[in-house]
Amino acid sequence: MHEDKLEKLLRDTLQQEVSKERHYLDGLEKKIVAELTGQLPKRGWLQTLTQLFAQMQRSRRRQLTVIGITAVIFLFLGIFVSERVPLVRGLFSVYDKQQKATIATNSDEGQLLFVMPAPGAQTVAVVGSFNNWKPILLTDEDKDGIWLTNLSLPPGRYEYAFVVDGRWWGQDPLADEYVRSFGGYNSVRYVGYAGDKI
Amino acid sequence: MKELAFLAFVACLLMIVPTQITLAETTSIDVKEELQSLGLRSTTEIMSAIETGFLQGRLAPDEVVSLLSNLAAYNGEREDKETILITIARALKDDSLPVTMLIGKVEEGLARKVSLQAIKQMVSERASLLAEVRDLLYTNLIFTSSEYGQENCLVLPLPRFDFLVTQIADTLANYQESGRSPLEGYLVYQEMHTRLSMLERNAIIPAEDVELVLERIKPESLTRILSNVLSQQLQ
Repeated sequence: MHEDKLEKLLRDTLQQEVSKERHYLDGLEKKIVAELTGQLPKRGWLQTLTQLFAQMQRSRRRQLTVIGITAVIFLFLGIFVSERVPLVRGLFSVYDKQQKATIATNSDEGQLLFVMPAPGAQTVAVVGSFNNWKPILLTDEDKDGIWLTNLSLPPGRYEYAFVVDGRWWGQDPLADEYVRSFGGYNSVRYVGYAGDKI
Repeated sequence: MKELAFLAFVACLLMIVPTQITLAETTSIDVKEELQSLGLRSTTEIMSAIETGFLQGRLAPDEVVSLLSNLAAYNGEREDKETILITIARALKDDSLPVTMLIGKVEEGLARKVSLQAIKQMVSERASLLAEVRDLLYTNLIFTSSEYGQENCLVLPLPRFDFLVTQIADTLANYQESGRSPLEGYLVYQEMHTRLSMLERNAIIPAEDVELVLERIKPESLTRILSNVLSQQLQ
């Protein structure tokens, strides 16, 4: 008695499943014949997308797959755009160089990376208390407008400013603090000892 | 082959050693030459102070040569240059003060191409501040230098004492140059607190020095120092 009920239940469930997926079979025979005879109408991208979204509604797994694929496409597109478009590339390189500067400041004792965004500048130098305010030239090898130099300094407190085409620029975003001097500004960075205190 | 390498090594040594000797010799001579080239009336007094600075280890020949040659090349009145150098010399010899900050400010002013008058005023103000801060550390029985040991004071080695005096004086000078009121003693104290804490955090200055200064120096003392310096400038 129980087996009969179970068999009926299974049969009903299978029928329901088959009826749910019946739309896949609709016109399948015609499609196969058309493909074999080379008469299958080409689907447009809109139709493909519509069908894809229709399928997404039916299956959560497919939905997640499509989201993943879209994310990957956008990621590659982002990388492509950042490499091709100068403005975006500039933004990325400023961030990248500033990241490097932060790392250099925090981890490499005595190493200070000076970064100055100055697109179109002819010369960029850093002057400071670390060398009696004599200019040390920054370089922009990749011509992206971001000038930099790396200085090895003993532990201490250093005041400095950038000189861009002869004009003083004393407010470096990477500075620890700023002070007024001779009516202008100086940036200040601290270089710490690795371990032993004085 | 080995002989050839040895000969090359010896040749390199022969080329390097004389250069080093020459550099060491010319530096001290250059100080005198640079000073004489300025044609000042007080050359003897200035040179005597510079020599004291060398003996105390407060001055390096390179920094003096650089200062003198930059001053010589700078457009301006000879009297102004002389006043700047005399202020530094007297701070060094008569008041026994550290002068690294003063030299640094002159170099900065010259690099910024500001007038000698502005440099002269800044050096004079900062020399007064150095003296006031040094006296504050003495009178509050906090620190003294190994040169002038006082009873009940913590005697510090000269470079450590000089560094502390310089940092406090520089903080007060920066506060003053920012145009804020010297009467806001609490704000001045906060500035000093921030500076010394940053130096301590970077292990540039010992924590015990900072603790003593922050504990014993009161905002009122800093107000008094700034007021004294201002009134000296107005006279």
